[in-house]
Amino acid sequence: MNRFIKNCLLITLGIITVLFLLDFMYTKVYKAAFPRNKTQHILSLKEGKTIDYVFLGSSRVENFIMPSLIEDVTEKEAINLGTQGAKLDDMNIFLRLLIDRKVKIKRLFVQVDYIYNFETSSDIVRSQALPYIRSNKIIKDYMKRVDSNFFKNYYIPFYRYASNDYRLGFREFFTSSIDKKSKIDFNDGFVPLLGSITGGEKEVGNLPKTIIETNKSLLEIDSLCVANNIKVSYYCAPFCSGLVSNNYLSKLETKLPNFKDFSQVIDKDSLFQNCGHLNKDGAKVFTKHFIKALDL
Amino acid sequence: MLFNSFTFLVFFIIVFLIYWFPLKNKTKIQNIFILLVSYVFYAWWDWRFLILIILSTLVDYFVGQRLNIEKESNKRKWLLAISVLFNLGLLCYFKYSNFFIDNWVAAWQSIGIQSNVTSLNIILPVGISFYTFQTMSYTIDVYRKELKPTSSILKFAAFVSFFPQLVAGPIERASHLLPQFSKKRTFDYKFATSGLYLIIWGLFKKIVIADTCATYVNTIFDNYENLNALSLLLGAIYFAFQIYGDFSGYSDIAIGLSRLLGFDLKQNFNKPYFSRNIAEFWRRWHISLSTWFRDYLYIPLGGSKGSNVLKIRNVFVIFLVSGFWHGANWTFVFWGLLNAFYFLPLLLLNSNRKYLDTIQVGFSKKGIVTFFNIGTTFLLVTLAWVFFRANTITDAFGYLKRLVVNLDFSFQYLAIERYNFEALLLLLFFILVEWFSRDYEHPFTGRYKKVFVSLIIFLIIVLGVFSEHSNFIYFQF
Repeated sequence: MNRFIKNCLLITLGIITVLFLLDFMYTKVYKAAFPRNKTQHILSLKEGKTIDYVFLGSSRVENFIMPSLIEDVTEKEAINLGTQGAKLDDMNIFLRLLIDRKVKIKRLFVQVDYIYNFETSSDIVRSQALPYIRSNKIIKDYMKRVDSNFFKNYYIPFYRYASNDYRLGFREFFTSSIDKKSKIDFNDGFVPLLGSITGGEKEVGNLPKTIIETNKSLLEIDSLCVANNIKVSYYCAPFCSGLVSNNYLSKLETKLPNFKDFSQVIDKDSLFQNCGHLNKDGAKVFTKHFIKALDL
Repeated sequence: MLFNSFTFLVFFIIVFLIYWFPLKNKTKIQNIFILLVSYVFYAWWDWRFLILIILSTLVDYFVGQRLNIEKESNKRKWLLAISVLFNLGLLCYFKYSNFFIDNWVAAWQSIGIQSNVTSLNIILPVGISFYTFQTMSYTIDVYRKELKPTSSILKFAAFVSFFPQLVAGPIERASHLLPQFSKKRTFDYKFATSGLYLIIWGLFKKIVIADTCATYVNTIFDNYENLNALSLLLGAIYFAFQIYGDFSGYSDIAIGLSRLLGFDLKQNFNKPYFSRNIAEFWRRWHISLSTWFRDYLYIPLGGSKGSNVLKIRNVFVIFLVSGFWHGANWTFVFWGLLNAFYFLPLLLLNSNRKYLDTIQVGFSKKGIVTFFNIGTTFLLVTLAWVFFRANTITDAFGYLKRLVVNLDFSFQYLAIERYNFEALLLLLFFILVEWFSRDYEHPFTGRYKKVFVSLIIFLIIVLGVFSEHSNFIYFQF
């Protein structure tokens, strides 16, 4: 029995050692790797860089705004930091990281729609931030606030990578270690969607019937912008013609004084991939409209 | 409490330490302890269903006692009927009620009559198909006078609810497991170490192989209408390894845990994908269930004796019942039916007992034939698994039709942001390990076994799927 328990303890010790080593290796690789997501891209931005237009939001920014087109038309630098599933809390952390990198933002555009009602964060952004949980104070504070597994992620070696194997597991570690570039050009950040709503059943999108009193993250974004002299504009990106708005956007307008409602500016459903997302052609049309409407 | 969860790890360490230290050499108290922790283990899912295990235990214990003293044939038959009806009644109510109701309604609707009968809100108790079969086998063996019933209700209750194999088998026979509760258990280093190796290998099969395959399988089966022939073929292959890794992994862990407590459970899988025909596959896959059906259904029906008509009937009965045992869905029935069709030619040509030897392969014509047979058997099994995995019969046929008709064999990028071929690299490693260890219960043998154990533990940490603690597939049966 003693021999068996001794062997089990040795195995456990071996496992713990391996966990420490793997945690060290993974963190080192993710920190040094060529950026493969937008969090990494922000952290790799040159300190003091100036960007004219920064776009924050969910996939309804990522798939909607074409910075290259903005640059062609206005000759000003733009970056799309929209991330699939992102909520206002995630935009808050992106903005804090940009400010921390001393990036000078001339104008910030934040896409707000039904996400105003969410005070949670996205697990995609959360997992993107995990490798930096011990080295970046802003990320540590953010994770402390939003991550229910903060204690385990922070203190148990390799837990953050094992429990997020889908996004930070061996496959991502391997591709990062060989510096394999992502398909997305993060200097631009636009991700096009292909295909379009075709005949058949009409696509319908519903906005919530009620709106929450205040969104804490949005208030923080607002005050960060004031403190850092950043001009911020809030807008709602287009939806298809089947949108049932439930008066939500007019309620949102009362919460955000300089809010621009673009929800119905694209009238052709063929420019949408689904009711909440434009396709590549739709993004081009909308970006042009956006430049004109906001006089960029 | 899943075997691959941290909660179970803590639970088992506590059980192990109490079992072997304060309770050492106290067989009766060890049995009481096993019974208690088994009930805690089960109650972790849903304590309300504990009553079903207790009822099943009491019914079969008392029927067993009565059968032992009852001499009259008719009365003995009635006693057996009580046990069988009670256990099958439980199973039918919890597992099949809604299936029969839905089909009843559908049958009337098909002739234009609306029925008001609605589905019942029934939760399927975990492991019900396993422990009911285990207790029934006890009563049947006592009825046949092949087993002397135990006088100890404690031992019998511990045998029915023994937690390592309670929720997904292996389905143990009383003749094998029950006497072990009477023996004094001493810690055997070699036996325990072999158990530990089985646990490690089982975890690898489940967390690395099955759960990785599951991510591909779910994406491919859920979007089969949009995917090409190669993706669908890979989807079917991935499912074959998912279900094998999942279920045989569970069985290995169950056997390993039992060994750590000094119990020996029977082997449940014996490298089934290296079978050379379907008959051999069924001798190597879910052995405890196959032998259950063989001993308590197939042989009583006449087995492979009698006229061809009887033989054919028996084969169809056993495979259809086996399919239905797996779940209340026509997909499982069709899966059973398909296997009956695979098996039938072997039976009629008297080839069903052809491959009883170990698999020997050399660089010869015989070796090539063996590989061809293994490949063909795997392909047939894999195609049948499509019915097992599909949500409906229509989906299964749609999947197979597209697999045959599409003819596009390019690598596709799946919605899970992975190419459809990527999991094959992992499977190749797994197949090679299984092949070279095909004569052993686990691959940790020979001079370098410690190195290989370390490698497998390392791979579990690095390649394991920990983001979702997915249930074992067989829990739903």
